[in-house]
Amino acid sequence: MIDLLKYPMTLPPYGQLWLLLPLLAAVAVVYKTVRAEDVRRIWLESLLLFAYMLGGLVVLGAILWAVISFWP
Amino acid sequence: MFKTLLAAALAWLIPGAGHVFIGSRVKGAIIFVVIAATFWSGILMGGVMTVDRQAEPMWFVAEMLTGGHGLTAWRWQQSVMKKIDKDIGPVTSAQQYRDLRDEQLARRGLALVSPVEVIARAYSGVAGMLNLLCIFDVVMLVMMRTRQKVVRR
Repeated sequence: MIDLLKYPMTLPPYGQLWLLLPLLAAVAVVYKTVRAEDVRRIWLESLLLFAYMLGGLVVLGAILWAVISFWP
Repeated sequence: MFKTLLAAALAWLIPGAGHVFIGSRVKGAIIFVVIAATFWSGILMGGVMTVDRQAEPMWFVAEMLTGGHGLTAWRWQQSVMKKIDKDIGPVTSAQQYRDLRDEQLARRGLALVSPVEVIARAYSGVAGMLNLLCIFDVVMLVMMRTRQKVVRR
């Protein structure tokens, strides 16, 4: 277990963007935990924030991709 | 004032403990699990050199905001670096030390290279910044409650 934590992992060259999802989920859950007044609503609100952030990043990524691809 | 400082210190040292201290046990538990999982996922990806004060001082500051998690990882990194420094021996310049250090890290399979370096530090650093948010929240809640008590009196 300690060795697993000691040495860096080799990540596959493709699909590294998927690692953004757990990070987004962590940000959404902690932010909503801090903000939520009703504890029972944390998960639903976190899910909505997660979708909102993911959507925003996808749009941002699409815009940047379009700028890089089509900018003269 | 003492209660505010104690809550902030607890929230820093053990993420989530500040919320437990002020009575929000569920929130504290969620914060503890999520921040611990995020921080140690970063260490799992980047290894012991993810927390590195010399190589990445800004990320180091963010990582230290996780309190006990960051300190544990830093202490571990320091113990590994002590062994490496022993093998390096005396050096004449900072540049020579850096070169020999990188060489030793690569030889031991501990060297962090991009993109793993960036992803690992983003995970552990973001965990620290999330804990900063929780520390602020705890401090604000304690201060507001103290103020409400004073107003009621």
